[in-house]
Amino acid sequence: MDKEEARFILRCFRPDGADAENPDFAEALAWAAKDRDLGDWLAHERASDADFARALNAVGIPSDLRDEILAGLAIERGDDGGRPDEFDRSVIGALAMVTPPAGLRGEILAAMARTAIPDMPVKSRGRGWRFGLPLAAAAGIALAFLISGPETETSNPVAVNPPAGGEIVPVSLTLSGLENGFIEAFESPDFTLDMENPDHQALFKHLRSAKLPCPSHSVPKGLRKLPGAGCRELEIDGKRGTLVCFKRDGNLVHLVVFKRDDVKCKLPKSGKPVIGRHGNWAVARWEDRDCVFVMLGKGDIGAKDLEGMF
Amino acid sequence: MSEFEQLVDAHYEALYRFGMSLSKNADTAGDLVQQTFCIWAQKGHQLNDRSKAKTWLFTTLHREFLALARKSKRYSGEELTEAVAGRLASEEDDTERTMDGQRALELLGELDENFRAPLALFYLQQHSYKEIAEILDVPIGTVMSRISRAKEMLRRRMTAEPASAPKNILQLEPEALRNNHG
Repeated sequence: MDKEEARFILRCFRPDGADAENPDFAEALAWAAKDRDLGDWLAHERASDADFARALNAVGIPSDLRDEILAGLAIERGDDGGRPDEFDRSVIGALAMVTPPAGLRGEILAAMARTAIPDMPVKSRGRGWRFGLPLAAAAGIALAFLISGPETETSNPVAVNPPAGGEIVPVSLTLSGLENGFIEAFESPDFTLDMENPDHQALFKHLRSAKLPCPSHSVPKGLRKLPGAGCRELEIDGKRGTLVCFKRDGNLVHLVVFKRDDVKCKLPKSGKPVIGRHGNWAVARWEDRDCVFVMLGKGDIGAKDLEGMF
Repeated sequence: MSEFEQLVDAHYEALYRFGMSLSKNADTAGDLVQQTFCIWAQKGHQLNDRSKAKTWLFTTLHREFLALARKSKRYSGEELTEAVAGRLASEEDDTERTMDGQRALELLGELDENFRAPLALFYLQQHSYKEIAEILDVPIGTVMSRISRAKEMLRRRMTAEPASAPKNILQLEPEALRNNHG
């Protein structure tokens, strides 16, 4: 190693001394110790580097960034429903209280023995709820759900009728389930709008006539200025909601609306949305007395753009 | 505190500053950091050596930035926005240091991305030059050369531009400043 090689290596020596014990620098540092010119240069280099590093490390961090990251992580990991809350505990407790009728087990086994077909395929429909449960067991679990409703929305029991075919509809959607449902629908090659019209009122009229949740009174002011693209019904895990799309500089901003009682979450009121991310999507979430709203955009539409709509 | 919270607390600030150095845009930097941790939530469990988490996060953020930059050329020459300047001004009490921070970002932003990324990582002081090479997926010798050349370019720009006349929040319209301060 010559002096210039040592200088080249020492340019990568971090000014806080973090590399002092790194053997890769030992020979170059030894050069600097014995060569006064190189030693002076290194001292000046480190001082200059330290100034710049101090400046860069003083760049302010947005005060809400940490909370946004943690909220995004919770949604990404499905943690919003991960820890049992009061609602979960009430359902778990209710399920534990359900006692199968005496003799049910024997009846099921007997019925299965009569009807069993080897490797019989299980009929399924929709995402997530693909269990081909015997109807009696399904009815038992549905009974347990009848006992308790979502604590955040109402104290009244929420009746759940198992749909034809013996499948079970969840009592309520999670927020991440709702957002996944929208993204899945939108990114499907079969995605279409039920109605295309730039006029918001025409879209809202269509939604009301279809008895779907209508965002008419809770559209953020920034969205009100954008021309509509269209609207459609969104069915996610058996719950009926609405998607309204707006045009913005060649991109789309999507507003998903579901009935308040159909989504298990607690959100701030309109005007103070929770801004975050869902995968590649920027998302704003809020609620009013009747509905849960999720506004989504991607590509050129970032979180700041959504925040600016309010 | 969960493992996730510990990981976020340990690295999100440095990741944000790296994101700012790369993108020169506060919103994009925030999005990059959030996206990085979301990817961690999906794939972090695949990393057997947890001591590599920091390098993994910086590598992921850099890749996400490159993917974003490929989609949009606008990141290649964008100046610091007024919103960024306002944020910098509002979030640091020490005005003099904030202006230095902004100037550091401006100077880094004037460098080509090939030089900006290794130099930003070097000045964030979180990684050795070998780790920087791993993050950027370039040979060690290349990283050393880029850091060395980038520092020379930076010094030339610093001496060409008097420190007493930074391009910073003083150029903002009073109305913009009022808006940014809420």
